[in-house]
Amino acid sequence: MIFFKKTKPSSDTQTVDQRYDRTLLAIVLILSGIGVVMVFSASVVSAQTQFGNGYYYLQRQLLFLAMGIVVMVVTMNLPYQALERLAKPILGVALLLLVLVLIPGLSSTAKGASRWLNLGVIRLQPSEVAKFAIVVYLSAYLSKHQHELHKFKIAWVPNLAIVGVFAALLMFQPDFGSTVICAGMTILMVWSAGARTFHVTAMLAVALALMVAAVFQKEYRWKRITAFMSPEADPQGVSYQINQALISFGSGDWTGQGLGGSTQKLLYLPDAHTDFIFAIIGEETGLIGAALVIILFVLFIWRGLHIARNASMGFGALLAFGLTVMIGGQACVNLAVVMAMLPTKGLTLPFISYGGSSLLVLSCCAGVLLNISRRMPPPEWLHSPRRFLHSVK
Amino acid sequence: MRRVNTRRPSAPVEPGPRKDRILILCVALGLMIVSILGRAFHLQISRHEDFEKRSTGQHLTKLEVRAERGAILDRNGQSLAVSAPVPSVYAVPSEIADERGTTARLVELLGVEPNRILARLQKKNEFAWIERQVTPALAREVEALKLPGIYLANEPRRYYPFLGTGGAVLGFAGLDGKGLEGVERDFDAYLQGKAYVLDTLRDARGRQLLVGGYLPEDQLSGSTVVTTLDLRIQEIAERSLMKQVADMGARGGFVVVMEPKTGDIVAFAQTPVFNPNVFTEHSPGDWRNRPITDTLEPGSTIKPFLVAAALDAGKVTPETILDGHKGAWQFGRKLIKDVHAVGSMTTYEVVQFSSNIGAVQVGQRLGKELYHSYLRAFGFGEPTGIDMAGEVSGAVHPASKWGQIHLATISYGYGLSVTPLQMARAMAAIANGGQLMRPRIVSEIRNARGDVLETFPPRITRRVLSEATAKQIGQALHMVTLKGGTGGRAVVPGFKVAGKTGTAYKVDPLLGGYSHTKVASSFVGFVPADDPRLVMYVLIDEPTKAQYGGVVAAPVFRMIAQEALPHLGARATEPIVAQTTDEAAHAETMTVDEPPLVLEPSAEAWWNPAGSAVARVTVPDLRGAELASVVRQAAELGVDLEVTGAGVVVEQRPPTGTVLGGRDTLVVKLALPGHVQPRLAHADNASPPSEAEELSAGGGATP
Repeated sequence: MIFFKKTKPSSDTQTVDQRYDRTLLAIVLILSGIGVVMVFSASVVSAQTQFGNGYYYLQRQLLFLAMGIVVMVVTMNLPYQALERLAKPILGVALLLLVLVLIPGLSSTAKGASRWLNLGVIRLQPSEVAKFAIVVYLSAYLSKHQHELHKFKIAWVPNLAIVGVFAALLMFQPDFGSTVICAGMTILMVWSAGARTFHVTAMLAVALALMVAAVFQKEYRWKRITAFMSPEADPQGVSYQINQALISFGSGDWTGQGLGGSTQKLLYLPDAHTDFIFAIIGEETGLIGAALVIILFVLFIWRGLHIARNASMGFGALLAFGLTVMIGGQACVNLAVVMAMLPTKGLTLPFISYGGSSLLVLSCCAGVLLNISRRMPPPEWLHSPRRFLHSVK
Repeated sequence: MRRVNTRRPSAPVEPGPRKDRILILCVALGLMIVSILGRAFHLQISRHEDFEKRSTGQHLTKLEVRAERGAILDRNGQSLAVSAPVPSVYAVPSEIADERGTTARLVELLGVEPNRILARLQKKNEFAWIERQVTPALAREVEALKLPGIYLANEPRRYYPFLGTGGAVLGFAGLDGKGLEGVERDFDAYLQGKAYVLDTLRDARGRQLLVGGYLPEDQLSGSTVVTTLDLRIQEIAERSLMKQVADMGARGGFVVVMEPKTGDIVAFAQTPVFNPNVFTEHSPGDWRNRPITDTLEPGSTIKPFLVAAALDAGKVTPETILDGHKGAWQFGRKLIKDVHAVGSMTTYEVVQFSSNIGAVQVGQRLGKELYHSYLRAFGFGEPTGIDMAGEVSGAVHPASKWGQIHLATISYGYGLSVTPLQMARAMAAIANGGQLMRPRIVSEIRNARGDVLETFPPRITRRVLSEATAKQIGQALHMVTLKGGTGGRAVVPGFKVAGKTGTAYKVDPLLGGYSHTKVASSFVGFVPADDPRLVMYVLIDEPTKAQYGGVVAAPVFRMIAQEALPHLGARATEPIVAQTTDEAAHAETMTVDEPPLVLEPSAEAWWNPAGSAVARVTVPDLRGAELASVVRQAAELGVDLEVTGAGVVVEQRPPTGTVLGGRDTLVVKLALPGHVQPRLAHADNASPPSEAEELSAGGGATP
């Protein structure tokens, strides 16, 4: 496996590789840059219509990107190993946020879903935080119990309980897309950490059953499925969005209509600058542009898994793996949804779609990944903070 | 998988995710990526055309746009007609929930008709006009109402900045920007902005956006039409005409001002003033461009053309002496009278004094064939060829149909009909040295940037007279305005004027014969006489305060020329002396154009041989006729005759011009010459001949 060849002879030595993964950083920056350009192009008409300011989303995305870079720089340099200890508090905060978002007065509602907490400048999407919190928690738990993961009780029961609570809260919003990502991510992480494949198969069966149940529970989900099955059936009704997405993406040809040349963004394609931004990318930059974005995500996954493989400790490796799976998986699902390979879900394209909390959380994830890639040993004080504090005195 | 599945994890496990499982995941991811890329290729390349078609199908629409209508300018570049956008109110009825409420608000604000608006709104179409071309203030109020489904759109509206000035020439364009009358209609092909279909983007809310930046407006908008009109002179002409029509208590009038060397129409004035800005407030009759659509008998103003023809044909010379017959000449059955009675006269004096007797003799010398061909050469009886629709040709009957009487009456201007423009054009031929010009109303076409696209150069129709003849007749016409001539009031201080007066009795359409009360007073001439800048034809219709062309129409010529010549930069050539000529003295020397003795069943029948007036006869003017003549005429007319007294006819009943049908009786009273008998009851007290009697000292109640 040339891709996962270790760059250093040993991971357990005191050898310090201070260099972070520059390729990954470049990929993240390029994707974010593409995001800024495409958010502007896709949103200019709707922003003009909605706010009378065509630059509205561009300005905000630039602001989020600036904040995201700060977050990334910070998370790159603080010892990520602290997350192992902070896993449970983070999980608690995420859980709290998910509960808060369900309280009517505190949240913003869009299209029947309460997904955002109003925090003045920024609207925080707790599901983004939740995904990150679950990855951190699972990494900490799994790395601690890695020897006992063949046991169903150890590998699945506590995790499923926790993720089940999260999934239930997410479904209350409702946010089916994030639920699926959380569930899939959990199963993949537990499995990759060493759980028995038989159990995984069983879990997948259970998850599938739950998903089917969830689909039947709400009419709009069923409609999305039918819309997915036969998008031509009701192009003005339930299949409207996916039809518009296909028209948009499909009219791209090899080189597209040119940057800014999209006509589908003339309010035809709903969520053109968020969930369906890849359709606009396809329309304006053609197959070449779309393939470039896909390849960038492939490269991102490759670098992420590479970091996981070379991580200096179990927690870091699992964390890197989890974050890569979370981001890569979400990207794959988003691309597949836009191209009508999967039913429509409320998922954004990482780093590219418009969204403040999404970009901040993703920056945090990227920072942590880059941090892991540096293979820094945990600082002395992290092992016993009290003694450290004492010694300082 | 099975193997993996059954393998028990053996301690020590390498920390972190298991490498073999990452590999499996990578393979899965790789498959997924490959399928995503394949799907992308399938959608974007294989099915591209399908999606492209659906995309353009929903967002590309065709918007038909008509570019702005071109302007109409006068010869100096003044805008006579321009287009400017004004707001119009329209509705998208399908967006309106409360039709009644909306209607009520609109009615309140715009004063529109409620039922009509309500019906339009209830039809639930995508578009309905509510009120077109409203004022900007009203548009703002409509906007402020914020009624759902009610919108404003800018529409180009045609403005005629100088209101009624030249209104009938300009005509007008309808709400949809199509020329309907006048130059607007006749040059519509140039003025119309090009209609083009524009590909526009339509957003999902149905709003249209233009793509590809701004339009090449100057290539698409209508061309500018440069007319030969001079706004200033047009305005002077209209003002002078209006003043005189009012002062003279007249029914109306026309003025044609022409440039003799080019045939350019400088002004076309007529009554009533037609303001194309509010064309709907005028009756369609006012839209007519009357100098080309109306005809009239020229009367004495034909004399210069007769004399010019005779001079040109060598039938008379300036030295020819004609018998004046002392002011009354029995020509066949017709007594021809002159106001200015002389024993003899020169050829020029025929024109100067407007002698009917002289004119008839010139006509006799010329002969009907030659006279007819000259009249046709002067452009009478044919359209002038001006680029305006609706022009009539007038009537000059073929010489073969002329009898001796016709030759005589046509010699002094009765028995043919002409348009004011034909008169001006023929006079222009004399003024410019004998060339008949095709009248020109538009000189060039420019595009919106001002580049000349097309020019219409002046065009000579034909040579009518030799230059020498033109000079001679010009001299005769100049004499008209000198002391002793009939046109003294046309004289513009500082300039030599040439022209001819005319006072023609009108055919009464009700009675079918010549009216004794209704005249058309005219003056046609040019100034300066030596180097003509302007030719003018003035006609005042049915003046009541005075009748003679020299009194009624000539002053209009002077008023216009007085202001127009300095405007054109013409320098005075003559010493400007205070006009000492007593107007009354002039009046005494003026000639009334004798109405012809009508021997046709009716005057109507002369114009319109197919007319229905066969069974009806018109009573001729019998006054001055001897009994034998009266008896013969009564027999010809087929009416009974009742005679009292002896001598010549002094009164008749019914009066001249009355139409008799069946077996009516004509009553005449005879008296010896010199005796004025008490009038018969019902005699036409206010008849112009009685005025003529008073004015023409010797010739009045003669025969």
